[in-house]
Amino acid sequence: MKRNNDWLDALQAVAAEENEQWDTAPAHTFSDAHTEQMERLLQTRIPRKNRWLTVGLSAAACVAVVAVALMSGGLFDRSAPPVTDGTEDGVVGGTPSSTTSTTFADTGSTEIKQEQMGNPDIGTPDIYYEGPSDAATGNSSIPLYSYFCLHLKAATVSEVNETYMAVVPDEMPVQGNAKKFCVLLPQDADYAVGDRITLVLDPSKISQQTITETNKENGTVTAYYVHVIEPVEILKGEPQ
Amino acid sequence: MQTIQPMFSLDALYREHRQRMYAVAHAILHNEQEAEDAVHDAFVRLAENRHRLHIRSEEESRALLTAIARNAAIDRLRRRDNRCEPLPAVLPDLTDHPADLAEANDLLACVRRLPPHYRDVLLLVSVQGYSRRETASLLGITETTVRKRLSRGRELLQKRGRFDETE
Repeated sequence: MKRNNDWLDALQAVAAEENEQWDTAPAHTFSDAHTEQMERLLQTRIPRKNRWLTVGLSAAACVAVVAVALMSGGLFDRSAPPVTDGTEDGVVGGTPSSTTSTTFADTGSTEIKQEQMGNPDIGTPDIYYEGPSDAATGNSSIPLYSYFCLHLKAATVSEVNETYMAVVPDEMPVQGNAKKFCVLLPQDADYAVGDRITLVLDPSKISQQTITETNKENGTVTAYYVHVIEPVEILKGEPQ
Repeated sequence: MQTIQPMFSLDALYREHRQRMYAVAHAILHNEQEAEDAVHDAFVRLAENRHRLHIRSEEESRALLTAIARNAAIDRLRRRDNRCEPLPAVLPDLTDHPADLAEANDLLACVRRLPPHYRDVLLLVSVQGYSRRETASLLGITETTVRKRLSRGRELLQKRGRFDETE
């Protein structure tokens, strides 16, 4: 007997209508008790009222900039010794802390290292940027290595996708917009777990494109570098 | 085994859909605190079933969370009022109005008139592809109830001659 799927389409259409109806209902201000309850369940910080919108947009803008840079990155030779270097205040996304520039003699190109300290309490990740700079304009160009510091509130990493060797926190939602990124790790990666989760790779086992450092004081991770690759890039081919 | 989608996170779903879920729950419970509790219950259920979730689109996530919120609210209503059949259907059941059934010409109108508890099960099973077991777990009902609602919903649609399926 032939199956008539019109009703399936109608079902979807009605569901969409209903969604639209609920979307126009007046916004509700959730009580603090509910918010705290959800924070415990989701193991994340939920900003009150509209602060999340501002934070989220700022973090999204930062992540989008680096994501575009990641996808269209090129080679950058790090072997040449630096000729000049200096420091100056710079801007990466929202609230940066410092910028260091280094010029390489053989290529004449300049590498910029920029740091932006995030706030894990409200969901903005730390962003560390290293990459070539447009010497003419002084602007940051496409980075070869971009680093995200993922502050994850949890006790352990609970799941590893063996196919792609990507670590996806299961019980711990990734904060801010870093949730859109998986961290690609080589095999036999070591994890350092502290007050917040840190992903630490053994330097002797990592590829050239992936560099990590970790500085841990008083039992709390203060800074680390991790190479982040979007999941779609992992699926497209061999890990970089 | 369902592959975990790296893009999926409960907190993102919560931030995106909590207002809608609250509105659905409040329409049933008519109590702010209970509606908030129903939203929490819904996410507890989601957290327990996250390994079964295979959300392919924004629309699917909206429909799924709306259905879960509705059922969580109905559960609370059931516990509060100690009812056995607490289903406050937004739309009238067609079988109560056979004359309306006979007069209904539009399939969309027919589906629109399905009680939401039938519609939710049909949506999750037939459209979004969840198994009966997964649907039962997501909605917090038994598999038997899922089967009954599925059967009843299809029966209502079949009366309109628009559903013709062999299994």
